[in-house]
Amino acid sequence: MPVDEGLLHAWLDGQLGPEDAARVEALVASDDAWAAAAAEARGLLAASSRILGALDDTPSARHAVAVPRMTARGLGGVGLGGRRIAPWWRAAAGLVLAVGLGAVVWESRQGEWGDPQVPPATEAARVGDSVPPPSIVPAPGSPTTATSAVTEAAVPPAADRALEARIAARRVAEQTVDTRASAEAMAKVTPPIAEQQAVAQRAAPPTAPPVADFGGRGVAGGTVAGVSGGRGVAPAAALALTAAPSAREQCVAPIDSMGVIDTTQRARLTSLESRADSTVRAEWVERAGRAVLEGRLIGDTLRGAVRISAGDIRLPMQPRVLLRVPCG
Amino acid sequence: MDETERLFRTYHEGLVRYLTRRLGDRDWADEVAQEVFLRALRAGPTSNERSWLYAVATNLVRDQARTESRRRRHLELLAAEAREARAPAADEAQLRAEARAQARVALEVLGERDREALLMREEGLDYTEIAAALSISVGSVGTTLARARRRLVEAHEELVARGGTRHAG
Repeated sequence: MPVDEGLLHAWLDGQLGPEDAARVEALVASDDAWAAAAAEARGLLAASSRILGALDDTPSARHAVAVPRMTARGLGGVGLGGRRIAPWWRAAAGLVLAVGLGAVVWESRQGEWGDPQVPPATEAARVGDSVPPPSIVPAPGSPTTATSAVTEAAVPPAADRALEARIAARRVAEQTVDTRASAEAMAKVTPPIAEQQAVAQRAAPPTAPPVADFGGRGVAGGTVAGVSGGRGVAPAAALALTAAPSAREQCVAPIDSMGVIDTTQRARLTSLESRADSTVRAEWVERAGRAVLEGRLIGDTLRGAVRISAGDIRLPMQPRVLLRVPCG
Repeated sequence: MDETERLFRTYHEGLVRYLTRRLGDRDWADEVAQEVFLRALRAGPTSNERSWLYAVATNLVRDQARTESRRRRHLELLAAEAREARAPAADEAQLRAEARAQARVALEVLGERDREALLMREEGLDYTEIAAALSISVGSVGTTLARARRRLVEAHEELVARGGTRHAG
């Protein structure tokens, strides 16, 4: 009987039933070819395990990629390769990005994330020419929160962002007429967004935490509050932090670590707390249980560990993004 | 210990090791494992949880492997490992780096299915679970593993003989 290498490996792996195992054992004991093949297969098993074991000491690739980027941004305007980025260019890039992201937000709100409770004119005002002035509200005692908006590998390449911003800017230009008309029509019944925010901020507690408004990846219904290019924030981090009108009135939609938004996971934010050490604690309800994320706001991302309260297991979570969307 | 905790304690370590070996990036592996467990928590009980977890992990890896940025990171890691390996092996860390780079390149020589089957088997999945995770017949798992092991060892030996990490395919 010719040697069946697959059968031999199954035998050595203990995956054969009693009868088949006995048959192979008899062949190995009585047939030289089978005996030799079995010896070779044992060697292959041991060697492959040893080879694969070397992979367990695998380093982080993120560090190798992220460090130059972090260093460049940390130097405040020095690009990769040591080129100095002019402040006007950073501001312009931030403006383009903010407008683009606003357009993306606007478009996405027309789709699956659309909230019937929010009048279109209100949204138009957010995206259109009624965008309120830049507002950066860092966590108490953490003036460097925004400037530390250094994104790591999860951030798309700059070229991609620029391209997205250009596309989005064109879209918002196409929509300007419609949105302006809608805004004017609705202004009679809806207070301007700036006024709404002012009222909300007055109502918010003094320690109202920063919330990352997410404008990227073409989803979410948060507001794009302004541009921060003139405040030492890298253009890539132009997603502004705003004071949440009230944390309990917000919902979060966590996106998974791969940047894919799970639309089934629009979860209610039950707690959002900014701490003096510039960390943020967010708590929301998922289908699986209560989730708590404690971490630092880096750009649009709240990075930290998520703990699912079911069993109180601390999953070694990586980047999560909280999307501020109206509860609905 | 509730179901969630049991699931995590039982499979997390092995799954991260599987993914680390598969991806060559521990952070990436952690991220994928995280996503796998979240999906498991949301999906609820399954009949064969281990093969379910590994199938989800494998599919996530396949999906993400198509993403350019991820691929770039991966290639950068490979390049970094290759650079490490080319340097004189003056100490233990460098020797480990060289062994890792050679193992990585040898593993990349395998076909995708062979590679996944081998890595799953190394994590203790039985043939039925591997077959379920990869959507192949149980009867073909032994042949798949035999081919994968042989190819891995041969590629590795070739690399060692060359003393480098050039592609052994």
